[in-house]
Amino acid sequence: MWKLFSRGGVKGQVSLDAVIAILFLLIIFSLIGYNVLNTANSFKESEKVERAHATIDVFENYVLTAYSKEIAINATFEPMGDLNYTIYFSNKSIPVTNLTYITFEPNGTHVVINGAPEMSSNENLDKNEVKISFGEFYVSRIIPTDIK
Amino acid sequence: MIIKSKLKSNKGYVFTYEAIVVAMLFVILFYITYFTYSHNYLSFQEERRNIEDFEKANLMADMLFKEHEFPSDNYAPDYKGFLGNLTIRYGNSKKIPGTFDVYAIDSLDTNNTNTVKCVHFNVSIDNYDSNVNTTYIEYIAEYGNNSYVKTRNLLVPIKTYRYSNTSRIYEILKEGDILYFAVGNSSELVYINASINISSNEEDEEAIFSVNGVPFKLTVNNTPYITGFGKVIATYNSEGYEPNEIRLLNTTNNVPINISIVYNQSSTIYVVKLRPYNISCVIDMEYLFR
Repeated sequence: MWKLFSRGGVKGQVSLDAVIAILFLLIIFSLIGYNVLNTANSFKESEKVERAHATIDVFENYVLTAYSKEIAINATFEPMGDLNYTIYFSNKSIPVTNLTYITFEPNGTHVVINGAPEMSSNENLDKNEVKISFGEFYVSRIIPTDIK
Repeated sequence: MIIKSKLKSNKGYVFTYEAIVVAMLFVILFYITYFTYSHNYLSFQEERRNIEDFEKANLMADMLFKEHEFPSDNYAPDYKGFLGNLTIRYGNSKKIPGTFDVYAIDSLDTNNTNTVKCVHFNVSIDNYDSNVNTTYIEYIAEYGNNSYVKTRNLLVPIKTYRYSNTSRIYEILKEGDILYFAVGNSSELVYINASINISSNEEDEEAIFSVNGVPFKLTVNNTPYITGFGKVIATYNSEGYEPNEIRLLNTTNNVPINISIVYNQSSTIYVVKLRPYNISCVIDMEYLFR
């Protein structure tokens, strides 16, 4: 064990060396600790955004596939862990709070999307815009096919 | 034990330079791990995004091929009527699957101005002939540095034509071609003959046709031969122009075959001739996904 109390001076006194040493250790560990926490946090945030983009990507892929192959697709969307989200397009919105079924049906020049449950929204997006809101942030994309 | 002795000063209790070096080593080690991890994480994300771009380009190409299916809207109104009767044969989609219309406008230009710059079709068709098109599009063959190219073998309408006041049409068919024709009034078919342009000492051509779904095997030479196609040819009906289909499925020496279709009186005759070509959709990845 290191001797943290002075040998020669007044008994029970903490030496200046020990104080400096403790301060030094505190600085180092707070530095590392701050970085660890910050890194974990930023990875968590970036993972969230990545998955948000992945979700909108999947949505776009379903639209494109339904359109170009002329097939109706019944897809499932799930919340990201405990993070719920809402999909907005034209004047509709589909909240995804648990396993949600969304159908993509091609109709000539556009793709008709229906979800259960489906609500009307006052967002009134462009006919080829889709937006997914996660509460604290949202991602949106212009897709090459018209959707209704 | 060594670390402990290194950390401890022999003379007093103050942390030695060695102790500071050890602490620094911990910090450096931490940062090396941190940088490695974040580097791997970021490059994984980057790689995943690249893969997704390719997937997207593939889906985009499918979509663009779909938008270019024949017939597009860019034809004269009466000709569209004929095309409408033709597409009924292929179901409800109002388009013929596996076709590429050279007169289709890239409908993307209304949606996303960026896309038009990055997408083009590589179409090298000898010549296409039309007197019923309402647009003309120049397809340029051009490849960027980072292009996604999807090639398909598609039927291209190389001839979309309206013959006014005609009783006889003459078409040249190659192996794989599909000819559709419809006649405008109650005129009746006289005959359809087939011939090839070869000198008399060359061998005859064996050809297999499918006329309105019925197979015909003919031996064709340079003397026009009256075919039995007339038995299965539909004429004008009260509901409109009834398209007839002649497909040249197979020839022995790949010699083009001349077809003459003769009616008993002059009328409007609509014709569309489809020929398979390789069409490439080129998507410039560098601009599309920025």
